[in-house]
Amino acid sequence: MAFLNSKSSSYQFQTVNANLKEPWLKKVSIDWKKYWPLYLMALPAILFYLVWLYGPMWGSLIAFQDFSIRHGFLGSPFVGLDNFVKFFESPFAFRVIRNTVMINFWNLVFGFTLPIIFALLLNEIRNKYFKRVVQTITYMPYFIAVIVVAGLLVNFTSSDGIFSDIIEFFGGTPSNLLAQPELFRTIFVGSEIWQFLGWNSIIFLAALAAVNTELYEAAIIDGAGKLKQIYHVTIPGIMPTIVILLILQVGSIMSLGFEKIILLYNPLTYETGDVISSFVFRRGIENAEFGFSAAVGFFNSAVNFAMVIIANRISAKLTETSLW
Amino acid sequence: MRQTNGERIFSVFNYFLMAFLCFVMLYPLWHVAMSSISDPVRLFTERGIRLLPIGDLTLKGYELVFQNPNVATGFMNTAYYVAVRTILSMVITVMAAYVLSRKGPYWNTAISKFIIFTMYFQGGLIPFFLMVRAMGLMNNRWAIILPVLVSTWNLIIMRTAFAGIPESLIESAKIDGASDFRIVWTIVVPVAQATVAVIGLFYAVTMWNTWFNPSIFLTDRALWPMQLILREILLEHAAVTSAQSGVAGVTEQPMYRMLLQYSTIMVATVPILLIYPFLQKYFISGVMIGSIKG
Amino acid sequence: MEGLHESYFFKELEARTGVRTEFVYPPVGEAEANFTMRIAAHDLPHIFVTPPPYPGGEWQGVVDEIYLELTPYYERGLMPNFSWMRNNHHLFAEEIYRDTMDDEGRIFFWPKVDVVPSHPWSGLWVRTDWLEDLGLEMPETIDDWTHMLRTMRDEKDVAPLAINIPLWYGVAYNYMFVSSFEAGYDWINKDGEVVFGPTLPGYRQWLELMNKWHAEGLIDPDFPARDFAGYNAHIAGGNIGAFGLAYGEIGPILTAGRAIDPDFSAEAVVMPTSYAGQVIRLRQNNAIVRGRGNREYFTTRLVDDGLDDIAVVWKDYWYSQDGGDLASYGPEGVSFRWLPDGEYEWIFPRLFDEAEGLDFWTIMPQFKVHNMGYLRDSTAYVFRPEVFQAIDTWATQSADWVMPDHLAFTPEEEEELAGIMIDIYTYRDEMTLRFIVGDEPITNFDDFVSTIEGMGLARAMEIMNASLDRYLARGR
Repeated sequence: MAFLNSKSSSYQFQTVNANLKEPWLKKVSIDWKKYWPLYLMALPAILFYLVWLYGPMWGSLIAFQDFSIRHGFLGSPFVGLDNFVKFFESPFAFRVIRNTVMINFWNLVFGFTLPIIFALLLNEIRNKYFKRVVQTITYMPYFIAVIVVAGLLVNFTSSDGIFSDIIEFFGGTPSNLLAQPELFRTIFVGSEIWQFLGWNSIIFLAALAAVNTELYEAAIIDGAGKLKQIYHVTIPGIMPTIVILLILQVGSIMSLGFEKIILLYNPLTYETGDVISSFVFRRGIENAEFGFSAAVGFFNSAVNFAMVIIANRISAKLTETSLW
Repeated sequence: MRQTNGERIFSVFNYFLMAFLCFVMLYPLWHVAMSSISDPVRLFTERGIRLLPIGDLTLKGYELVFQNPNVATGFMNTAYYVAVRTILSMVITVMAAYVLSRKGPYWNTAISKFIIFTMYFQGGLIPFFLMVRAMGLMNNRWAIILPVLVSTWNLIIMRTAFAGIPESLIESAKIDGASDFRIVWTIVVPVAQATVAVIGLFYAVTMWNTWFNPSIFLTDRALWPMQLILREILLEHAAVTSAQSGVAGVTEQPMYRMLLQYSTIMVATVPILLIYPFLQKYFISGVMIGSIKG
Repeated sequence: MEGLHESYFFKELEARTGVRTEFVYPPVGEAEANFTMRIAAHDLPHIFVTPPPYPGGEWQGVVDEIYLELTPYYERGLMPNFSWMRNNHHLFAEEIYRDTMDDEGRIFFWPKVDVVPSHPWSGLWVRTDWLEDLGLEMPETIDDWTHMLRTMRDEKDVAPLAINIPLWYGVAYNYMFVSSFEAGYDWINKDGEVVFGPTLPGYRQWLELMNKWHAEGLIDPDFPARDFAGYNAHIAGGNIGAFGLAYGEIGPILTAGRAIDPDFSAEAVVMPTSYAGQVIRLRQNNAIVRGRGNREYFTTRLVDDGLDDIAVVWKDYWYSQDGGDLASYGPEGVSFRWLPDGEYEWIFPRLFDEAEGLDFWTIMPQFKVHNMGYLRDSTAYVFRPEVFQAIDTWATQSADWVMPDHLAFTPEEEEELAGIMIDIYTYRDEMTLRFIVGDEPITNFDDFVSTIEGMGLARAMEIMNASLDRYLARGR
């Protein structure tokens, strides 16, 4: 009847209304009541970030100042984008950015995927003892100082070095490989793989260990061979790890330290080997231009951050995993 | 277990591949080890692959390292820094990773963003230095430990691992009345032990390798970690530092320069290399999950 | 020894002056970071010894009230020895006067002053045993060199010339071969006018020569990629007949080289001429008053602590005859003693300890000083005979066209100059090597020059010339 109808309809209306207008404050306090032990557990970490990372963060604004260490942040004048202009004015700005990105890109294609493949292959080794030995040995190069690795590499790539010997064996002419700009990226990325394959695979090995053995058993029962097992159980099992690490790696696209570059490059290979950090290093040796290097750093960070945001969004759409 | 022919061939190939990789990877360390006991004069000129030490064997390189009085304290300091830092960092990171891996809490996304942002925008060296100073930590051991307690990268990886733990395990524990805190240490960590072990390794190794922060915050050499002492030995090759030698590396016993480079690397690296095998036992396959579920 | 302050020199100095000092050391290799931190935190020592460059230039340090200006103390007469050296030294007063101040006549550092002049420490060397084997004479002209290198290549079956471009110890920066064509790798001072070496026609001739030698296999084919240790190792390895080197490295090279080939011997040789009657005017050179790596700066903390007057007088003693001798030789009777003919000899016991096997350079901090500010006898060291020969040989040629060490710039000029030069230097390094190895035909040299000009060379030259003019105008 009309009386009942109107009452029920107004009741419904009231319920919908309540959902829409439920105060945010109420939601938060319910959340707090339920989860306060968790927030408490996260507190030490949050405090850490506040003090040690957000505390000094004003320093990133040095990029916009004509910074004097004597007068500090508050005493140095702001110059807007001047420092950035100084960098981009150089005829070499584009080249060093391009080189940075290209080296990082190839490092991502090979340096990211090979450790995964290596981890998968290693996982298939049955002999426990052999497996352990391989694991231990392959992560050793990580600890060798850059100077030594570079020294070895300079040695091997000289015209009388072992790489030239091999080339000669196959009928080519021996030459100094580090004098050829076409080869620089290959040599550099190759040496990165050599040094970091084992170390980078550790995290994947750990992820592989966490894959539920029951899933494997189920797959075998269903008649799946090795390859199918890997495709249907293993890879999906470690996919979150892979995706997260990939996003993080994409977020380092502009970051390339100068130490190894400086040890391996020479003016003949500036064309492909001179990167942002080595260029800034050469400029800054005598000048301690804080504003300038801060600006370059800021630019790198901004691009990295943009890449991470994009990668994250794509990942969130395609897979279930994302950074935030 | 029966293997198909294809699987057997693959297996053989795999073993060979691994052996080859081992040789290629082992070579740099082997080269350094052999060089560190080689005749310093010949070390100067010999180039190329080195499978055996060259010339007369000598322990002079190690002598030069260990006769420095600071090396012993350096080791003790490093042991201290590594132990304290790893324990503290792990506790904080594990807890934070657990919290952030839960789907419920409203603030998790905000906290994640808050944390990840710092991976991209940082203040730089001078503000960091001034911060440490402002906290009164100059020339204090805590200056080495506190500012690096949490690594965002490690935190994210651990979060990912914790997020992968079946909800059911945690649910059942909750039903049994366990607090979140207990759940973390009795269930989450053991189940994700492989990743936890790895992150512990990462924290330990970065602390083992650290020398730069100590160089700007610790003026008292008695507090220096071993890497910094070794670095100084290497760059200077004297018990007293560079102010007296002047003209860069011109004639300071250059005969021993190369030898010393190798022996310091050995001393700096071999101890940490010995740790990894002990952690490998945590990388066993996911037996745990199956058994608990049953 | 815990610190320099425990050396015999400082002990004796303390006995004579009654002033105690103590040294604090930053970690080796981290001097720059440490320096920056101290300035940022205004946590200063009393004296900085051989500090890294001050951001914005050394005078900026005074403006920022970090460094202490010494001119007031000088004018008050607290620096009599320093003043005598600048005004009355019988040989070098004018040069010392000019180089101890900036363009405005202000004094603010304590430099090392080599009144027994310091010598070129880098130049060309030749394997004399090879010359003997092959019946060759020491080369004097470019043609001699070409002939010698070809003979070495043919008879010894090697690429005999070791060079390095563009590093600080390399042939280019130290004017080797490029001086033969009256050009340079960087700025040169042609009779009072600053020009940029690589844009001179002589540079093209040099490139052509190097390119020719490279094409004929006379130059070590791995030269672009050799690092410092690799370069020395290659020379010692016995496949090199001639090389550019700093004399400090010849010792270890000879030792290592002789371990392989007992006949290994080398001698220094002068820059070759490219035409008859040419006078070479460029070679590695050290000014009487040494540069930044040999200076001390007082800080304002001395004023805060009320020690400024004392410190000035104390430091001034180092520039007296007695003080300088003490710093150069150490205490008499402990480290050295005078001989009847006016010479001296070293008697410090540890120098002769065969068992220890340490060399002079490692032991000397125990009784004398090296990189600090004082009046120095730059020969007060133990050198190998090859080094003495090298010094004498190279010093026979003049260094008239070498840029003076002590030009001063305003912070704005420095910044502008740095911005222009980083691009020019990068381009020069890259193109020079490309020309030499043949990746770039030398016919493009004119494009090379015009590209450099397009990068702002004119403005850079303006700044350099203005600075040189101001420098030359410093006078009494």
